Amino acid sequence: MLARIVRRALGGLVVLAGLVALPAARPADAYEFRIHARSIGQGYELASLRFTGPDQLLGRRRFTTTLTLDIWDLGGRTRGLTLHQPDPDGPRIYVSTYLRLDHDYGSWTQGALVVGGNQFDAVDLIPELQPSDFAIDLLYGYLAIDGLWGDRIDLRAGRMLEVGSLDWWSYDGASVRAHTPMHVAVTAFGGLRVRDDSALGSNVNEPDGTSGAQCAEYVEGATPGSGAWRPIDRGGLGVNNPFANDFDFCPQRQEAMPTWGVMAATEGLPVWAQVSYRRTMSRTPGIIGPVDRFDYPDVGLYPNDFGQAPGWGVNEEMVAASARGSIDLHHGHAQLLPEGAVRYSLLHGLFDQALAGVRARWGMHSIEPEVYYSFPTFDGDSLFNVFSSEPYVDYRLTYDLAPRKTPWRAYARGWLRQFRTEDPVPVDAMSGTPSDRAGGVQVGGRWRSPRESQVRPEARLDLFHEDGYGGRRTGGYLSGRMSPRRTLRFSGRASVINFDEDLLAGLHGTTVGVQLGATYLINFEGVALHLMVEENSNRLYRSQFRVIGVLDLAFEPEI
Amino acid sequence: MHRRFVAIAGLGLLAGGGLASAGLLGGDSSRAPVSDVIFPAQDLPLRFDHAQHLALKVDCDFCHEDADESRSSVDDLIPTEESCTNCHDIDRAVPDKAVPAGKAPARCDSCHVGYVAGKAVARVRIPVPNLKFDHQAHVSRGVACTTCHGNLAAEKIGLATRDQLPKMRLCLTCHDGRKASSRCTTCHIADQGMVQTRFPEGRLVPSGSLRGDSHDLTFATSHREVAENDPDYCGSCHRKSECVECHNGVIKPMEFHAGDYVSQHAVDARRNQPDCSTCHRLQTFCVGCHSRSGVTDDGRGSEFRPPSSGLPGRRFHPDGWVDTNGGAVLRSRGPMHHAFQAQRNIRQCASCHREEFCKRCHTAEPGSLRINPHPAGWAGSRRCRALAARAGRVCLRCHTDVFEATCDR
Repeated sequence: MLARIVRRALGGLVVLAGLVALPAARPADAYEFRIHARSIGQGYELASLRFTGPDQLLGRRRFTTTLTLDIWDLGGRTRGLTLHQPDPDGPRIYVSTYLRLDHDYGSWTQGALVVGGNQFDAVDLIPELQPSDFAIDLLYGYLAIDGLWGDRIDLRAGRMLEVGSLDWWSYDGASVRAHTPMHVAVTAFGGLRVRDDSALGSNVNEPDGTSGAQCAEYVEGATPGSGAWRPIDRGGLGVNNPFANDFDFCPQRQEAMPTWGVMAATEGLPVWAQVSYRRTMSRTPGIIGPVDRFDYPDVGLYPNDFGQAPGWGVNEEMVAASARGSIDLHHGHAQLLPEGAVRYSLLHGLFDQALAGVRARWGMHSIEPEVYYSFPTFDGDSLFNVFSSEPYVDYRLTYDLAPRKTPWRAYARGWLRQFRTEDPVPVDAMSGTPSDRAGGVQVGGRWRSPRESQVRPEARLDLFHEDGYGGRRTGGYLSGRMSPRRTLRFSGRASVINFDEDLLAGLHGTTVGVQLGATYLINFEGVALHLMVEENSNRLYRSQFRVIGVLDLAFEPEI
Repeated sequence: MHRRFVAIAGLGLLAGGGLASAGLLGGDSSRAPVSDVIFPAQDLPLRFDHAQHLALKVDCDFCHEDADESRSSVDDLIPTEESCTNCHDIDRAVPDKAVPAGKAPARCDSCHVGYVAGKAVARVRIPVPNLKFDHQAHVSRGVACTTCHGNLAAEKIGLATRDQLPKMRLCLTCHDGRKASSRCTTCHIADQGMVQTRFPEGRLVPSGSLRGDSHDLTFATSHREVAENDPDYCGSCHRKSECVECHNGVIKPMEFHAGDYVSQHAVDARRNQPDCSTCHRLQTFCVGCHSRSGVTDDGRGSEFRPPSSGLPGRRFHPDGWVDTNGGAVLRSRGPMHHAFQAQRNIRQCASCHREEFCKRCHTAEPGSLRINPHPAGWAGSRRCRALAARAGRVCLRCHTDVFEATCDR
């Protein structure tokens, strides 16, 4: 594991150094840049449930440092202009990066587990803990050149974090966007999908649905061909080696994932629509160990009777479209804002997400009915894709009240989720079976002092009730904030929630929680200290204390 | 169900696109309220009638004589007293000066509302707008004053107020990326490469009139549709670090998971409301946490046991979750069978169980229980064919017999 971390760290640092060195190759005059370093310390405890004796309380002691670097206006295009003068024409060049180091030195990650009388490091037995143990992640880091060739071409290269296709994902590569004369911008991109094994890759970017189970190897049985595929276990169990576990030896999850796609979006029109296509693939890894269950050589991780699995597999392939527009009524006193989106997964051969809604506004009122459809889909390598599963449909209705020049706002929201089950048995007719519907209502309001004073107190109340499939939750939050001094801000939140999960007889109770936070501005350039404490109590846990401290260091010079 | 909803979504798409192409969209929203942040409140203790002056064939630049050369919104383009004296025979020494009938009035209080002799007139206060503007650039391109400020004569506008200043939707009719730049910072004041949103007058937030993205009380939990439709639009004010710190952050976001969420999260996770996968990866974050907290039967130190194990331990699932008969799995389903729950929301299964766990029973490997996990009609389904064609290796994880791993049986 150490070698893997070092390899990933070095690879990522090379990428980062390249990004930083590129602008640094020119004189630094008139660069506008922002560095934001944030150090976060957290301490809290989580329970590990035991059958014999009391539950164990495991400590999370997390230290995280983030570093954000943004450099704008490379080349000093706006040099000499005042704030109120329009930007000049010409390409805009900038760099944006976000780096994070995260480490948990509490017993949650660093502790031990006893299995069969033997003690193991927790991270060896539970490979998913590894990202908590130590992670250096580059969440994004790219160089952008917008407005080339008379504002017709935009280029970006590096690690991109993208939102679109009813999804968000990350890739290392490049994109080019062409602004056509027909009010349509066409974007093409390509690169390698960021996954947990990428250099400085965050595990959150791994396409979901695959686990250590995917890291299988063929274990031969007593006679040739009688073995079975088993999770790889090369250094973890029985060895207690802190630098090795089965998570590190998952060939499929270490394969690079080439990804590419195109997107067309309207621009300069009063309707915002886009159509996109994206495909991500990965190579099938070669055989990972001596396997000889057939008369001829096996090739590939998943050999079949006739030789080998396909050389490549698709991890995701989708087409998506979305549109929003607005219609003015009564000279702008009222509006209708329709929206719609749909995604078809070519990999799964089905529509997996869609929504439609319309927001109606008149004066200070707005109401928005929506319908949302979701079919659970996973990475193409995930077994969960082949299971019998059904979509659900959400019906939502939201009302917002936002009077102008008054200190308060309010809202009300209701939702109903309809689940389906393929099984022909009429589930709802069965006694004691959880409902196949869930729904809830939520109302709230916020008051903010209209006086332009320094204190500017604010209070918010939210009340909710949810019931149906999954269980019941009823409760509310009362929160507030104020700034008694220009350099000091306090915030607080109290919550009372009654809950009752509908499958587990023991999972119910009323929880009471209090959170208090304070922010002290050490100076007005962006140096601040935040402290937050939280305490919760319920029938299951008498006390859940959490403390978070954050040191914000922001430097925003212009040179 | 699928087709019906897809039809609904398609209708939404058509509604936006069709109405736009029919020319029903757009418009000036002329009565929409003006932003107090972009154009801060003004004090105009004046009596003035633009329509009356325009009826006398007085051109705009006769009074606003510097407007056509202004390059910055900081410039004060309000006519001075000197401009007025071109027609009004003003004499400060004679505040109630009478003029012959038909001549322009010269009394101080004819223009200065509430004027009291001997006292200073109430000051006109027009704060600098929090916006960039280049009058010269517009005038030189042939943009008439009325294009942006309206036809004050036809509209019979007396005193011009902030209502006669252009609204963003009007600007965008030219600033469409073709005729003129559509970059936000072409007009909005830039701060660190993005639109500046904090001003002494308040915070600049979208009204929602343009894209339905008003940042109201529910926006924090319902911004997905707006963000996915045009992330660059969000990016004009929000850094990506803001997205990351909430969606892939290290601190529990209190606004979403306040108050002992660990104890009650199972209720939300069961119904996937809110969608856990927006921020959490099921097979890493959820599985790891459940495994370490000992609520998963994964043989890694957990003291939870399935009912079928016959071993002492805590139980997570109710009776009938997996029907057993002395260790042999029955092919019947009771009302609490796990298949119902998996079909409703298989994500809840994936948040605790690694794939290999499900394979213990649901595999076609020789010697296994060979319990078919596929939905009815799977073999001939489009879903099977699509998956097999693109990710055929996943079939081979359970089907070692190539004849089994086809969709055409």
